[in-house]
Amino acid sequence: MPNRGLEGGKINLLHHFKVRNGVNIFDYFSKRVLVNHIAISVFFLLFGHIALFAQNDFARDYTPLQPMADSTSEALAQLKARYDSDKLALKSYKGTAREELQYIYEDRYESIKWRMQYKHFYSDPALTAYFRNILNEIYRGNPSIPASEIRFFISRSPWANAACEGEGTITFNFNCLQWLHNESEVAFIICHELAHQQLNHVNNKLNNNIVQLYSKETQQKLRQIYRSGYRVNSQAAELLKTMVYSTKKHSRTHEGEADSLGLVFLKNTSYHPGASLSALMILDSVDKERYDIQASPENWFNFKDYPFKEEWHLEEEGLSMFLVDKKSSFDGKLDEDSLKTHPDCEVRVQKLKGSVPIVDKPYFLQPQQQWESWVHKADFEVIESDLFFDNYSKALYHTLQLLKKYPKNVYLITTVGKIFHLLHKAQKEHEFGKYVEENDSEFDEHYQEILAFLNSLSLNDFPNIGYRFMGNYSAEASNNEDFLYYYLQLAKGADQIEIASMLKKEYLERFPKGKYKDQM
Amino acid sequence: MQSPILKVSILLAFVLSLCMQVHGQTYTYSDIMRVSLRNSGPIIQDNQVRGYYMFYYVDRVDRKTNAYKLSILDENLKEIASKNLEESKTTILQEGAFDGESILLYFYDTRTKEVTLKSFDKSANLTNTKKMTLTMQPMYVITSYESNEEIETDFVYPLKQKGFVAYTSTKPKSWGYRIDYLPPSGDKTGWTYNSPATESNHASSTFLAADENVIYSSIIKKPSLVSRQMNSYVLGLDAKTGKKVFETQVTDAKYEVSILRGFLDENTGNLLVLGQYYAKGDKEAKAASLGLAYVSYDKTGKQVSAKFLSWADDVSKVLPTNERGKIKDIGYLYFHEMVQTPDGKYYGIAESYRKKASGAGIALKVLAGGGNTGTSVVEMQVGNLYIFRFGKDFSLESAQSFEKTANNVELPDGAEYLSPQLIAKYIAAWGYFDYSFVNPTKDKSTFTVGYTDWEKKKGQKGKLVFGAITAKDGAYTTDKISLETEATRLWISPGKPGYVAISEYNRKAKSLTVRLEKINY
Repeated sequence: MPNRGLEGGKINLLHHFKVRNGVNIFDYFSKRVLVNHIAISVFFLLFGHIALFAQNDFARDYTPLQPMADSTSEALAQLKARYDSDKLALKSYKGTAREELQYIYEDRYESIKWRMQYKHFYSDPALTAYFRNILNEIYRGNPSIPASEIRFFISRSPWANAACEGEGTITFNFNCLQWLHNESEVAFIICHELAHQQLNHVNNKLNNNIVQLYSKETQQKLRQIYRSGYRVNSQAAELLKTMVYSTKKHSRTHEGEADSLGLVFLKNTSYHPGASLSALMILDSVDKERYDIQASPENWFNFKDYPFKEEWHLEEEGLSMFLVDKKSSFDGKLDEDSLKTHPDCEVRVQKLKGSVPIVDKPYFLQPQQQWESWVHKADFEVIESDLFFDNYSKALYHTLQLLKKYPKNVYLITTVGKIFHLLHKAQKEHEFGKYVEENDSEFDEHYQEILAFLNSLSLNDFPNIGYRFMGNYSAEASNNEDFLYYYLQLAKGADQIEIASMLKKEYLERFPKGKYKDQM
Repeated sequence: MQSPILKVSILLAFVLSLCMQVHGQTYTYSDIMRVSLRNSGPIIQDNQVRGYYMFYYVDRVDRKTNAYKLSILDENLKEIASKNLEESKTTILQEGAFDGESILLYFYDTRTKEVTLKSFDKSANLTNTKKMTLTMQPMYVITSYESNEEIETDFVYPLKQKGFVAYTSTKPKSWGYRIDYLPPSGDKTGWTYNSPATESNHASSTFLAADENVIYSSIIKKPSLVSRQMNSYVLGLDAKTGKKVFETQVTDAKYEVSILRGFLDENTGNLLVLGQYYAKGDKEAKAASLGLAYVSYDKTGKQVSAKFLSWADDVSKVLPTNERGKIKDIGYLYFHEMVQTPDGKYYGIAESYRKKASGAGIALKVLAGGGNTGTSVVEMQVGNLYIFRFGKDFSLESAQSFEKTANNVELPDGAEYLSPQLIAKYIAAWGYFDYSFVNPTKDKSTFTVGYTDWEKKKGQKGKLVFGAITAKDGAYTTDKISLETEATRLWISPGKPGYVAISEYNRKAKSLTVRLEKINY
């Protein structure tokens, strides 16, 4: 398993960088990071806030972070005000182009509003304070950034990503922390997105694309194509292909610009500018699974009185396994390089490295202990994200991976039981497909095993397996309210009537005012 | 999360890939390119769904030719290949099969009656094309009033990694058939067997079974196209050369047999033929069958054994109590499929039907003063589903009925003069039975019978449901999935084992949605 600590991260990154690029950025990392305690103290005095952490015992249990259940009317009003002003600015556009832009802007506004209202963002006070400190340091060093017009949210989106929505909203996906090595890298990523906003990249690109599409020239070409009567779609596709390639090329240019300005922003802070390079390098690996821990279902779900069946194993038989040459399988596929919105990370690093000064600045402005705690929490929050976005198969996969690391963690044990209970319920309603992905040979091999297993289970297998799994932990976990509730539900589903009755009694005795009291 | 749903917009996949993505804002160039789905269906191997084909019309190339896009999806509905094709504007893609080594697609030009078989290798490259011209429309596109043979919708059968056999009708002098063997990808040799024009005025063929030496086919011969006299034969062809090994009539001293299905006995390698039997001299088109027949043959075509189970004596003994003695009340049984499980048992899936007077048809007739109204004065009432279980020796072990709402099928004018059996074949070919498919697991130890039903509960409006009967470990479980939809059109097809694929076409949104639903058992 890769070491996600700072030291391990440094070593791996250096090796990776030297081998692939033949350049030496050792200077950024080889000098011991001497944390200037005085500077840190001043920093926190300036912000007037020290986030206190109750260090969770991750080996034992975990309590999920608070989601944003409803945003303040102030934040919504600010969002609406920006939307209204963006709409007004569209007056200079005419006809269909204007209508289309209005539609897109409205869609964007509604999407952000919806995410603010429906728990997509975190409102955990300690977490928001941690990020607010980073953001404030960026604003402090860069007064040119209109801080009052920026809305910053920490998102529970499962992708390791951050985004500039184009109208002042910046989102940073909490799961990114799993991949990053230090606070300075977070600061650079935020600086990069702020640079997109500062340069108005998103709106400019959007507006230019629509104007180009509805320009007299393009519309005339399309009319000519329609009039020709033959190969209409092929000709139209060719025309659009040129436009799309051009758009993507501009996107790649924009990324370079945002890197440069983002670095300028970062250099104006107390963070280490070398983090810009290491953050970009990490982007190459974020599409892979964070942990390469084998989570074979047979190791987890093989019980004496309910043995793992041969038919639950992954069978590689379908047409997806048959077609071996993926490239030749698609005629007329667009050029992948021309479709990229981002340049290759190595190219971005090469362009940027000349501007990165060798300085002795800290990678952390806030206590490193806090950072490590957030990174651990990000591991657990991935599971919460999976559940939130109704991807129960991914949730099970991530839970089992983490359970290998924390084999006694009650939250993880309960989550496995909860997933089997939820899947049983979903399958009864014929909604299984809403929560479990179909297998794909391009998925991680171990995830394919989990999917093959879940997809081959019959209705009654879900409670029977879940019940037996939880039963293995009943001695150490039965103090937990959630554990008791899901264990009871699974016992009922598995027709363990006597045990279900005992569990119900136990629950009501231990939690007379429990949250599941009415669902017994 | 992304559910296993494939949304095929009228704007095709390549259009979607041209969309501009701006930080979560997706914009598609709608109303610029229009692509329509022409045909879709499962790709089958050994009775199992291995994937799906989708055949799209893309462009008009010239007056006679269209550009098409062929999309191949895997069993999980993920597109794994797409190919650009240029074919006649009247081409349809009728069938898909997979032999483990290559994918074979059966294209049919409705104007020229030309069949084109195209096979694709592991890189989705076209490796083999075979063209043949039919002298008549395939059975599934004709209104089969005059035709008296077993109506099939499958024409291409995959052999285990050994290529495919295709069955087509011909008319050299009289109506005949042609059997083509298409070898696996890369191997260019193949053969064609044509029915001898002299021996019968009308002959048709369907696939029964095959091993590495012999390909067995069912042959039906009639003195004339309109004759109700028919004889069933088993034809054995050398798998390597296409030469006739044997041809033997399926008959008995007392009975005539109409073949339903064929299997190979895994232990002996013998061919097992299952069918319905009639009294000697009875005409299937007119008479009711007397029961079920089981006849086995060795590799040389020699009959090894035969067994006959009568409806009146044998079948009525094993029907559930509430049905006991009421075999006559059931009406007729149409056998859709036979499944052999690894324990050697056979399961016959049947649906009951009866011919009855049509109130609407009679009223129309009266209004038309007895003239042609286009609607018959009789209709077909389709009833419950039945599963018969037979032992290794074809002894009838059990029969179970599965209740569903009676479905009245309106028939065209003139149907009143036809036998119920013939009408049953007609409505089966057009998909008017509620039975949809049988979907076995790889080892065939478990299989699911799928059907649709218009379920009406007391005090409620009727609703369309998909019903599934799963046979596992000798027991049956049932499940129902609501098919309530706002879509313009909905159809179901078999999915990978344990699943059903539900396709919905929404005219307003111009989109087709295909999803897999897991069946409970």
